[in-house]
Amino acid sequence: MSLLEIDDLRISLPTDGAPRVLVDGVSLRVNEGEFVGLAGESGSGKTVTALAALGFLPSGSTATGVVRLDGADVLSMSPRQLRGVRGQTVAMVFQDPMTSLHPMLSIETQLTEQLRAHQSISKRAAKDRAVQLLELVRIPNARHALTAYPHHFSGGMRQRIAIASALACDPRLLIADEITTALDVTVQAGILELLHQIRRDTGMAVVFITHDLGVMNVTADSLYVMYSGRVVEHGVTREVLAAPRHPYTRALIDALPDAHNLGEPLVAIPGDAATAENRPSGCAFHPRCAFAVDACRIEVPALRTVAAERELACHVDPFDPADRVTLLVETGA
Amino acid sequence: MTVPLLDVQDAVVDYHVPGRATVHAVAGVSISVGAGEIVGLVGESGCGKSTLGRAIVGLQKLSSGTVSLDGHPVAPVGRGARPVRDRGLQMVFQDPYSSLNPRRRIGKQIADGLSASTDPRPVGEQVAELLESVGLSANVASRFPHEFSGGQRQRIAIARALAPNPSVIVADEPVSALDASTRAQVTNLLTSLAAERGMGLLFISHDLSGVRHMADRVAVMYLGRIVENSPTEPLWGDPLHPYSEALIKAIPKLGMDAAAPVAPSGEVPDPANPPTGCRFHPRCPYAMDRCITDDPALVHIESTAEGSRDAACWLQPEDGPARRLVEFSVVGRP
Repeated sequence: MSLLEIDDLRISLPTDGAPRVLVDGVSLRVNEGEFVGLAGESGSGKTVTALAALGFLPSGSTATGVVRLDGADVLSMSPRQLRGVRGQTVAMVFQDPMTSLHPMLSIETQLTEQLRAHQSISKRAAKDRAVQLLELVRIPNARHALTAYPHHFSGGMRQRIAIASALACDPRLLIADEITTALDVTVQAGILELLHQIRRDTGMAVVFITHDLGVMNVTADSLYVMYSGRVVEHGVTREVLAAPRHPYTRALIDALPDAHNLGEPLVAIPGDAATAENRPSGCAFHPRCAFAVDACRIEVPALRTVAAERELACHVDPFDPADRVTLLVETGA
Repeated sequence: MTVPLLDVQDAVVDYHVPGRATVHAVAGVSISVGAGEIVGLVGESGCGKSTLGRAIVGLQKLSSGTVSLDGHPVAPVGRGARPVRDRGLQMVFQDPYSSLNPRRRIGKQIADGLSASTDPRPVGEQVAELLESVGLSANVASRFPHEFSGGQRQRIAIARALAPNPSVIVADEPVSALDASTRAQVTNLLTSLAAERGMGLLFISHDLSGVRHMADRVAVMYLGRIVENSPTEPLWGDPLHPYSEALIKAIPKLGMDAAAPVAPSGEVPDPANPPTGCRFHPRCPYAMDRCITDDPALVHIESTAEGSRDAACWLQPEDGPARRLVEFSVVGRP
């Protein structure tokens, strides 16, 4: 059994007309100690999917499908049960540490408050634990740092404190939503090192959300690529990014400046990203896809296993390595 | 050697906060941009790269130093009209949501810059041409900014900057706020505009991979100083300054065998109280005694086929031959 199991999750918001489907049939698995990546552009539903693991749904939305955390069904939990899970089994770190930490409360107050709320623990023990947490995320002079306020720290330090706060009750799963996006590349490298160290020390699993494929490549073990509320490709991160099978995954990589396309213009993806309000029929990517055929406009492609540890939702599969071998043989190359 | 289009000499920008020490946000920077040249300016947040960009176009007063365009000094932006000559220097900002006026039609905003134009054709025709040059259709001129996506807005901001037919554009993080797919479009647009119009571009960014892709030359800035100024590919393959090396090693890369990014030790020091000697020495893996006491100047180290390489580091002997940092990384301190 996986730590987090999401099966056929569908989250929709009622409107005057047809409901807006934010997440459309997403299934994913996170094992103990695994780093699972969710990649996609803004509006692809990656954050909404991850938040469902904490039982957070957009207000007014309805959800169908199953979200099972450590065997328990999150979607049917009472508010009281959810409070027991949040922060304890699963915790979250957000993009902007300036808004996720309270600017008017000392670091000590922010770290010990949740310890005291979730565990029966004395003030003194909570303070000792807070020092331990700050040391874990490598804040120098931790005991002194407890008396400081968020504005005393740099952006990278604040993000470390936000991570310390998420780790307070030893969660088994951490949702990390674009946690390095607002940081400098040097500070980002430090935060990524820290996450790997915490995993080695505690065996915590991480759902890592980012649109930065370079960061994804060096961080996540497995990767789900999302487009317009659906998973379009899934596999071992480095394999997916080195040899993408879905035209959207490939388009994202071709649009990225990197060593592989130096001196050439970047290949921009034509058109604008599909939104939940305005999702094209069939495969949502078809209006921007160079390989689209009639079937793509009509039928939503199902996510199917196309190779060992690789799932793909594409009618055409233009980058099937088997086909390419045939093509090379035929052309005599 | 030809005279560079944009030439900045010993620029200093100070920020005074009552009751606190003066911050030298830009502490003596010289940089130049030639015709058709794309120069990347990189560094961590707080290093002074945006302040330098604003000072170059005149939005920020220089405490000392000079900025000249085509041999003539650039006047700071004031209440009065700018000299027509200075309109050859334009700026594109990071956030196209706040840099365009939400209440004015985009055609009007682009036309503002045409007052300096000597082109006798009707304004509407010129606006249409500008819109087309950034890949938008001419009939959108009567729309308002909210009717466009982020990438389209940034292209409108670029069209507005192009209106006075500038010889140099300073672009401060022009693609950072955009999604991956539109980022590529705007990157390509800026690259082709520089090539087609022979326009100089100072491209300020914290995204080193993006800079590597676009720039002919890269200036690396740390705590208000330029520590290395090199042609792009030599810089990447063989950085001369330890800080350039640290930045490159911190980039997460694609590829099956990509190495884990490495964080440099320590944090950026307080710019109000910079370290003695070389400002990078507390974080530098190669620091020697001299680095703690003496401040190295940016000097010419070696010449390559792509141009001169300059660095401010005691490891590198003036006029070369350059020493390879990779060799030190194995044995430690020289």
